[in-house]
Amino acid sequence: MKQTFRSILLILLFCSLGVSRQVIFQTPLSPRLANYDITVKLDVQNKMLHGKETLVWRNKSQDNIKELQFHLYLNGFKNTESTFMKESRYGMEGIDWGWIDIKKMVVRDGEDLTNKISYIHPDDDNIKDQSVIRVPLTKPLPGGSTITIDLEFEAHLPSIYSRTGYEGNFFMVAQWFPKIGVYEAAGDRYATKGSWNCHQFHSTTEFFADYGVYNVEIIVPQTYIVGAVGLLQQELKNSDSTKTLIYHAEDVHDFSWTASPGFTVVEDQWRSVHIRLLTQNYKVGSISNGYIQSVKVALQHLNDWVGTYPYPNVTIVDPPLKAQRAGGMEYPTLITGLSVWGIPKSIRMVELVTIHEFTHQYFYGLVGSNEFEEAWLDEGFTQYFESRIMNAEYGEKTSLVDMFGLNIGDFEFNRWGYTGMSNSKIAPTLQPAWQYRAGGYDNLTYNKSATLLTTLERMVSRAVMDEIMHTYFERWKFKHPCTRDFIAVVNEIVHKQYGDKFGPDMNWYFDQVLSGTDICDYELTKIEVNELHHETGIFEEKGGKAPLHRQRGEKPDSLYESVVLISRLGEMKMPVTVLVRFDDGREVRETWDGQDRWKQFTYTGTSSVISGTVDPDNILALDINANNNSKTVRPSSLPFWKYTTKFMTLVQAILHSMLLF
Amino acid sequence: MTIRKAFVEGIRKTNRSILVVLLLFGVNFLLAGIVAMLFRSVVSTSFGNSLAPLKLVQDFDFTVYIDFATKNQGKLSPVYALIAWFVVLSNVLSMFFDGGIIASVQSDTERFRLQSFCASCGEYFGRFLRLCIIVVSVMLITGMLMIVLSGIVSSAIAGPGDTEIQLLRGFAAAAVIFLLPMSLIFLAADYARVITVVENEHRMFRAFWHGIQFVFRKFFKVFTLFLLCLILSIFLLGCWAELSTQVTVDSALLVFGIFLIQQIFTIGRSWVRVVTIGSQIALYIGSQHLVQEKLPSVPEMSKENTIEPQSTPTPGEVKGEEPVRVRKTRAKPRVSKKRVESKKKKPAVKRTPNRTKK
Repeated sequence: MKQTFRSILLILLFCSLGVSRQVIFQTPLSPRLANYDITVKLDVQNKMLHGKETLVWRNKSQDNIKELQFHLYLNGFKNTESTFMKESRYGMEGIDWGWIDIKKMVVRDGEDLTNKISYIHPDDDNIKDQSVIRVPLTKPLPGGSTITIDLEFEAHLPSIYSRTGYEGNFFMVAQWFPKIGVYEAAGDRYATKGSWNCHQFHSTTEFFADYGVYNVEIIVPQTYIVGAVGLLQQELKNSDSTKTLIYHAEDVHDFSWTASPGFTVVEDQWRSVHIRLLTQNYKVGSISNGYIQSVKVALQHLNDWVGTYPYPNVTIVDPPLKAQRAGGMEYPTLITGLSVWGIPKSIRMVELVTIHEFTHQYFYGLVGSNEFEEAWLDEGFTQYFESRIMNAEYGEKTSLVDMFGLNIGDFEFNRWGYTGMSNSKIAPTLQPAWQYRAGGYDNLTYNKSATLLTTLERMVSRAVMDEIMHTYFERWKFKHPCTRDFIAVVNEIVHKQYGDKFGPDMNWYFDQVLSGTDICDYELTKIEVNELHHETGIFEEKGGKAPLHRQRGEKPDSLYESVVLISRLGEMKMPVTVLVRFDDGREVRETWDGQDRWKQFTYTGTSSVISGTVDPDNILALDINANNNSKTVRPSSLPFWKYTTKFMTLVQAILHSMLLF
Repeated sequence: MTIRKAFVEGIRKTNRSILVVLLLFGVNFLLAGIVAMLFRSVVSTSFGNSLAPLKLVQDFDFTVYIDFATKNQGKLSPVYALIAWFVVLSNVLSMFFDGGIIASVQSDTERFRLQSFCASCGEYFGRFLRLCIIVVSVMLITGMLMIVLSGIVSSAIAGPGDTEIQLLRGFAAAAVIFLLPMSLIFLAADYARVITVVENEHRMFRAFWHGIQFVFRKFFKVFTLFLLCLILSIFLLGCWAELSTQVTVDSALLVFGIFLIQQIFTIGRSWVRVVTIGSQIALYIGSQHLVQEKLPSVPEMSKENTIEPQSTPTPGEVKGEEPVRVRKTRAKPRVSKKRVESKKKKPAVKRTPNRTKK
């Protein structure tokens, strides 16, 4: 009986091992060009990865491909001379360098490519950079065919410097395996002829890859808790105190994972999406709730505004204190957050980072734009939706900070990132991320992009903006769109909704805000009111002299000429509305195409202008100085007195508190 | 003298010298007012006739503020510089007024007279300036030592610093290690000033040393009294802060009303400062009384050096009090006869009920 029972158990075990992997999507959502089967063992003592990888890659073009190109991102952390490190220029002291070596690379049933590997530097002439390799194929790969390559690799994880690495027993394993570049055929994005798009690893760049299916077996010590892209299919205990976790992910373009014995797992559910948070024990409570709630609200709003989140799960990694450099990063179905225990809840740091990173599931994860070349398409879009979600949940003026009477809204803060730049003309937003050599990458890619999208939203209305975003998402999910594709959607939807109200297309807007470096600054320069003299005296008329005079004591209605002068201080030309108020309560709205340097409005009548405001509806979020948009002839001293008295009592408190004797 | 009695005595003395409180407040008000007027001028000129500031009336508006700050970088620098200079000036003025305040507050008999107040201010200013130099030197040396020590201890307590809680513990330990000695030096300086006036001490090293001795001898009482006054001061500051955040000030009447209330809190802080001094005087004099009451050796001292009580201690003050060791120096004349006689000619000394009399 015992023998029979054992046999049944063995059969069951065998069956369970041999069971085919759970299919996530019955119909593939993406072209699935780059598919990986990887087995990796984490050596926690030596911070090493020992991996075997099988890549099945399909040449979707009609070209005969004569070479393959791969990213070896971990070599960006190899030494001070890598392009990544040369561009980083900070905090390299004490870094434990990271690297990756390909031990073996063979075409299945074909040639050994190992000795043909050479490093290339498509972006710069840095011969010491080893983040990209090319491998020539003896037999070119015909269009439409598939190649299977078996690799063996060894990698040493760096101490966490940027996104990836280890800190103590916490491991964030990202950009860790040899990853094939994207072959762009003529007509793809900006390609005029077929070529590899495989950029070096730069300090400001992120990633670009083809979608595919990942089957990854991760071997870690049994005490370690693991989180990874995709779904956990099986967990097997090995005889050597390790365990093997088998993950499966479909229609994603990257795979990262984390492991630590110090994780505490918090789980929740939003509709059919399973939410799993890996945090530290002492953060369970308000911080873990903040993470979970943020993902839920982001899911809710993005489903409403953009489209359906298709994956069944999402994992949030809360890095420990010393590993914060791994925080604030996005991978498909896995994000890393940032939290600091003890920070007041009224500073919404957890919410901000989590909502931002989750939004990347849409703009990076599902819409696979090229983060190297057009970072605004993922970071700008994400920043734009981050503000919308934060403002919708926590108030337009209080979504970021709400304490001691200091209120800061998320969008206000984003806008300041752009308008507060010492030189906002330093570079255009639409340029490859590594070309921001003089600075401005963050401000122009994140903040200006969010501001220009908000300006667009305010011009065309939120409903139309949602239609634009929804259309763009549905049309380009699981593909590689470029800026031109987004603008085409904008032009299509705006024209559908408004006809030629904004011109034949919206290119005039994007040419200025994306390709140009001009700034937008309109000013209400002057309001001048003059009382006019009534005509009195003798006037020549057809019938002779006609006296025009008033009786003594008769008081005529005063007649005024009011002049409102508006100036365009910046080079950016935008149509603007001007709201003019008169002393009898009347309001007049004027429009100006904003093309000339200035525009003057003159009004003559019995009432005089008391104030004027350019862009009264705050449409031009890009206007770098909103304070000069208005003027009044009857200024109120109330705000000045309010803040002067506040300031005075503050100074009094300072003088009191700073008394040493 | 119990803490409660010292505190109550401090309040009593302060309420008797309310003009001193108003003087302190007046100086504070004047300096802050000058800064505020400069601030107003800069801000209103920068905004011009824009309507944007109106958005700040109902609530704080980050966009209006940040556009102003970005486009007017450096324009408020003179205001900040003026604040820095006024901090220095108010410290000098405080040093100047301290002699007058202590002399006024400690006197139980005389009414506040501006003339004698100013005379006392002038008389003790030089001494307090010397004391300040000594105290600052000691603070710098101690501060440097404490930074090293607190660094060592905090890193030991924080351990690997893997969590914010560990770091917080380390930081708290460092703060205690650094702030405790610094507070004691501050307190010693406070009592040195009291000793200088009460004992008519001219040697500031000696006054400071006696201040340190007193603080350590009466550590619990001194420190509790200090904390009590500190908490009261922080409470008033908290009330002011709470008031400014909770009330929406959107009319001229409210601006004025809130300003008045805030000034009452500020007067309260000046009042607490004088109460602190009054309590310190009460605690010091009370403690010195006990020495005389308890120690049989005191009557045997030379008549010239006996301690003359200012007021009769209540039974409660004596009960349960441990005798304090009398400083050897007290029994001996600290200044030559000639010098003491010459001092007697000065009105401030006559007015001050010094306990070391010829």
